[in-house]
Amino acid sequence: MDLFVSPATPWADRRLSELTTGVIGYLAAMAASETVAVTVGPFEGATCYALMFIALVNLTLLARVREADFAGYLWRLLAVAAIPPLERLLMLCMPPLRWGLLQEYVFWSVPLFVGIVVLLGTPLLSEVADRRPRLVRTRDGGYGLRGLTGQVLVALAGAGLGVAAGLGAEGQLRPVGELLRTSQPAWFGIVLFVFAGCTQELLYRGVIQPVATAVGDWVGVVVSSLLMASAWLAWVGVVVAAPVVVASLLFGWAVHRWHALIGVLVGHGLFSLALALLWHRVLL
Amino acid sequence: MLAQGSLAAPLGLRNLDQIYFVPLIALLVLLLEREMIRSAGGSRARTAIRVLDVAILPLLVAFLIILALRLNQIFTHS
Repeated sequence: MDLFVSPATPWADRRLSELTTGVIGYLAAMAASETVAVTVGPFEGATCYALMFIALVNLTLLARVREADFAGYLWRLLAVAAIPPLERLLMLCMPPLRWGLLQEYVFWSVPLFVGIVVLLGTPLLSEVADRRPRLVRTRDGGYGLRGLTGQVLVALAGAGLGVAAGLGAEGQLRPVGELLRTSQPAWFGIVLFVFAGCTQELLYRGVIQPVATAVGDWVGVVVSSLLMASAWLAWVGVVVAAPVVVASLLFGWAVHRWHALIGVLVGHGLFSLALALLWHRVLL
Repeated sequence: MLAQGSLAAPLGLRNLDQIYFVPLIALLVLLLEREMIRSAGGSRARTAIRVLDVAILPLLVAFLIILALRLNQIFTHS
């Protein structure tokens, strides 16, 4: 009878009955908003995401006020659920006038990064501190070779999946030199690694996954991976769906396995770099 | 010329795509809500304001970026 029940947690008796519907409804709302953005237009899509964001902020506010002991998980889940709509809102609204696509990464990443840093200073992760990944620390608190080797492999797998996505999108290799002549190489690497890779991984693996893991170990991995994949799919299109979903799940598993972010940060950067080098339309 | 250039479209809002107003309106809604809650007072209001402050900050940064780029565009063209 206890086969599907995880070890007791404050939420063990509430997870399936109260949260499954909420998680499914939330993912459905995200998918519907993305569908509106793609089929109707970015303005309508951004409006849907803004409404979602405001609604989730208010639900977080209500849950936070009602949970007088501040030990509840509901407000934490609602708080992290509000971040992906904010990210998509910024991604849709922040390509400023006359700026290239490469600069868009910077312009939507900066407000999001500020929000994440402020969020990390709140009690959001205090109840899940043991699940919170660190930059390089392994599950055992050390820097073991096993974890390091695995993370190097994950990072290289990110590069391989980026190549697969780029080839799938473009169908052919393009000369790298041409791209680097038109786009400053240092700026190119910094933007992809720091702004795209670090911001998204800090958000999805550093904040969302540990909070969602309180519901269930693999719920955190799957939900954070699906949310990150959805943001990617909207950014580069459904043509690179398979590598993006595989990369998202791989990164989620890696953080769950080693509780360290360094491997997926590099892996995400290499994925973006490989995809951009092979598929010019992503950036230029 | 000055009247036509600066008074007819002083902020160039007609050239600003409507999508830029979505995060700004969201920011205004949250700021309005914050002030309404603040006027209520009490410990619950302070807790709610802390939640709203975290949500407001990224939108405020986005607003400042849009504003800075818009001003840059206006002064570059003038």
